[in-house]
Amino acid sequence: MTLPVPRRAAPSVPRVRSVLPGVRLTLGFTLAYLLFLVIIPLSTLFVRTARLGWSGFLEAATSPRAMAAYTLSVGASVTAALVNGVFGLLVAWVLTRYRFPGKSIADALVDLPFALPTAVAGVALTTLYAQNGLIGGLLAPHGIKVAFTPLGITVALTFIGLPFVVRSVQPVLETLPREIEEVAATLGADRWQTFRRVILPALTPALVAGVSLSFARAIGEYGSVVFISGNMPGLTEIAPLLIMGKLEQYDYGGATAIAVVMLLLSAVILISAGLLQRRAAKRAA
Amino acid sequence: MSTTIAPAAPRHGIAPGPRVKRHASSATGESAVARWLLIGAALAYLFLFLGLPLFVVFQEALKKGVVRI
Repeated sequence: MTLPVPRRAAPSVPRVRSVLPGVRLTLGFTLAYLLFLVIIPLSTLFVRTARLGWSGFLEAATSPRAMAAYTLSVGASVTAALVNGVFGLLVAWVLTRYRFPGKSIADALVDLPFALPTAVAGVALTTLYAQNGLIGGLLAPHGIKVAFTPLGITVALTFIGLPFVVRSVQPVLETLPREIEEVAATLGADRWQTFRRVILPALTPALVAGVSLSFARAIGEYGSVVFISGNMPGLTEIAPLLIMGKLEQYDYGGATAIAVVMLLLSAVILISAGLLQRRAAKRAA
Repeated sequence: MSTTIAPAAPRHGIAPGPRVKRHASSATGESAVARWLLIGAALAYLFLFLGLPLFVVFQEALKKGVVRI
């Protein structure tokens, strides 16, 4: 029995074959998967909006109420993501580097926003930050109102975004070789210099990834914000809520117009975060 | 002289003294004050943002007792 000899391509058409088998199959599957789950559903948004026409789209997408909602949504989401960037890094650092009593409980607690239904989180945060709540009661005498203000929305978005940063940074911090810090120490760097110039550049790609995930989660968040925001149009109404309101009034065109703007805004922010991440990764390498 | 031989013994590394160990860890670790400040800040943040909301969930759920009559 002779083994089948693999046929070779004609010498006139040189083909570079990948070393890995199954490139076409896996690529085809990935594209089909993305097509059905992401691209087709999102493209219907644009199709639906196109029915409005330019003037209809501009009218629905740039109404004062919608503009206020974009500003609030993007502003609160960016703020929450940045707060999580700072404190998520701190929590990840403490959880990987130090030993202290209650460490495993703290580690488990980080995943709470993943596990807790967002509506429950919203009710809990509203109870906590309302004027007669545990924290709201302490802040009210100083004139700081949290519940039913943009500050409350930021608090809720910070709550739901924290695990993204911690869980992105933690594994990188765990696998960071201690030797590079020892080298920095032998070269005369103090701890802060080592952190600033050796550890932080290595962590930046993961940190940016975590912050952008936290932002992406925050910008689409509905469940936890709906309770704490109070939903006053033009003041504390986030874009997802405005979309929901339009859908309830059967204003599908208006809802999709706002959705398209939100989609484009998020895409711009996430793409810039991705570029930042790539640049940081190149610099760290 | 016996005094010159005695300090040479730990240099072979059979039994590293506590002084050697502490020195090695301090190059890639923070001072105790900085460490506890960082741990304190992280735990305070976790308590404020995750612990308290969790506590409130249970407090609200059990406000009327474990078994509702």
